[in-house]
Amino acid sequence: MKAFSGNIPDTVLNIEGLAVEYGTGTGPASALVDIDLRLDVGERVGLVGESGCGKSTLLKTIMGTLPANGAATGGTISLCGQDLLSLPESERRLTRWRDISMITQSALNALNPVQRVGNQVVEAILAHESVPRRQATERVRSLFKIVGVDPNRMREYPHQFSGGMRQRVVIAMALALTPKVVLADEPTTALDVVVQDQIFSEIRSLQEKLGFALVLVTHDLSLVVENCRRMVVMYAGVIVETGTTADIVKSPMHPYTIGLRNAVPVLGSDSDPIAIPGAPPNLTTDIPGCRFAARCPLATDECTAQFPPLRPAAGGRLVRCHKTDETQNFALKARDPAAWATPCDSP
Amino acid sequence: MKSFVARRLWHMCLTLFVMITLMFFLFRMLPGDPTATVISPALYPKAQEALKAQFGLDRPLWEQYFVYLKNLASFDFGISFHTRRPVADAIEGRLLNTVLLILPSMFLAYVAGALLGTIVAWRRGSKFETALVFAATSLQSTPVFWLGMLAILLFSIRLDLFPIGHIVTPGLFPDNSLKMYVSADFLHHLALPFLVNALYQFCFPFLLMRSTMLSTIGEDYIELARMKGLKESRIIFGHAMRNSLLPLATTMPMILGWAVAGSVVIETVFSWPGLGLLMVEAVSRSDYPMVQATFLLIAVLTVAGTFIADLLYGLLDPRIVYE
Ligand SMILES: Nc1ncnc2c1ncn2[C@@H]1O[C@H](COP(=O)(O)OP(=O)(O)OP(=O)(O)O)[C@@H](O)[C@H]1O
Ligand SMILES: [Mg+2]
Repeated sequence: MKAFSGNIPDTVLNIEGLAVEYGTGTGPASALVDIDLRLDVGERVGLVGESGCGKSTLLKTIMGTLPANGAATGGTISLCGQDLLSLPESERRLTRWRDISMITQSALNALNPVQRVGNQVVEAILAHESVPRRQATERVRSLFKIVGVDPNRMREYPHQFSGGMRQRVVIAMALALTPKVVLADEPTTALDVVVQDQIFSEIRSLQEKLGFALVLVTHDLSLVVENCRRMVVMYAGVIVETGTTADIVKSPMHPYTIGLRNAVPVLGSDSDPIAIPGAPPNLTTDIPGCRFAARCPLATDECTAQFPPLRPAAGGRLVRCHKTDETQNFALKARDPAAWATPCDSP
Repeated sequence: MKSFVARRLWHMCLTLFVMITLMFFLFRMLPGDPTATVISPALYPKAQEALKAQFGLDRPLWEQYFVYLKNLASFDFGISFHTRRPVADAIEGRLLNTVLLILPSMFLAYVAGALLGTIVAWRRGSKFETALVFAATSLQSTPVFWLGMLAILLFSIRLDLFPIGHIVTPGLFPDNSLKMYVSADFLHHLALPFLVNALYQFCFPFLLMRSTMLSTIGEDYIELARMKGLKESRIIFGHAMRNSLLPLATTMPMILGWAVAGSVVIETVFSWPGLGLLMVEAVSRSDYPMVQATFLLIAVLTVAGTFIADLLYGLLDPRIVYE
């Protein structure tokens, strides 16, 4: 499989078998295990999963900016055929932002409070291109126009900007070098719904115009449905299901995805959203089997003993579950909270 | 901004006024008769009366107070009880010595402290960090007079590298001309107290910078700076250090007032004829005009330092807006 990676012309980013660990006081925590993810040119992919499942960790690993106690312990991340993980830091630095940029999770604090906003974007350009400063500034002016910020405010400081405007600046920054891939980590969580919508339609139209591939991390399933053709569902550091958004939302095949869908309130529906009982496992403990087994009503001995592979299912879907035969049935009754009782709950 | 400066200047004047008043009455409430050193009780009572009248001491206290204020306004600090010469002259002669010792060593301490604090925080967990933090915390809790004495014992007495004290070799510059400040002999005398003071003053900026940096490094904009693919040096010095400098830069002017007050110790240990030593001498001789003037000077320095700190904060941090 490795032999082909990168040779497929329209794949821009290909991640295979990626594993990431964080060193903690109580031993290493395996934050990501066996991550496979392919991103095509100009594609929009949604990445969902509950808090702490490793979405930001995955994006930071792709950027190469994990904190000091975190490191990739296996796998490859190839960008247009070149493995980023084996690049020396000096070359890796140059690929950052030029090829892959990121709209960070907390964009409100992502700008340096004592530096003029315009300069922070100019700085990104100058770090990668040997253009005169004046020319870079000119480019930032037009970028600001594109994202809807008055270019005359380039000389202001972040605190003079509203949250939505700061977010736009960060987006302008992410596009400054016309990267091939933009990673957006919950780009609008701190904003109100109206601004959120504006920003999203902006990101989307920019994406269509500039043709970069977009990974959209969000808790909001409806945003993925609206914006992404394909989606990836993560749980406790593993990908549990990937496929086209329409398929997954219509008929989820992994018990966790089923639970995730049920946890989303549906407008105009009289059924209440229900949450999956229990909590994700502690990642510092060794989990030999399926990471969802402890919360899964379908779990058997096989599930607790054996780590399931990501298996192909109908419609190009990949599902990491030993019980895919039973999940269709389970999905039908999963709206009933009683259906979520796990074997270990019952006396 | 203008109105802010005007308001702060007005506050400064008020503070100083209160300080001057307090000091004036405090010294006159002290037990014992300070005039005894000038007007000997052995004199005839008539002569004593005459002298008192000459100094204005027969007037009521409030009148003396206004005279004192009036004199201060024209920078007249009175006559030293000890030397019988104007206090202002004595201070003028000593101020430069203190400034030459304190300012450069403070400057060195702050530059080194800021740089090393930054580097050490960036290389968190290194042996270098552990060693330096341990050294700085120990040093900070070491009395500076002990440090000074230790330095004299080691470098002056044992190794005979530096002179034991004083500002120049006695007798070398009999006319006390300014030429002595550019002589090698002066630098030779300056070296040890300079280094001891710099070493001692280094701890605070170093530890402060390190802890501020550690919290700055965790900020999102530092992470974004890394993601942008900036050079490591630019992230450290352009982003992290620039932001961490705020608390340091603003405490510095305030520290300056302390440092001058603290020069008492180091100047005493090294017999450095500066303001601090002048103060110690004045206190031990009950030279009240001199004590009052030196205290006042330190108060002015501290208040002015606080004012500069406020202005500096506004210059360094765009979020601060003066109204
Ligand atoms: N620096 C770190 N040191 C140790 N563990 C970490 C560190 N950063 C994250 N983790 C752990 O790694 C796991 C994944 O964290 P991550 O931030 O990637 O989650 P996330 O999916 O982005 O969550 P959220 O939706 O809340 O942003 C969590 O269990 C978290 O506790
Ligand atoms: Mg996150």
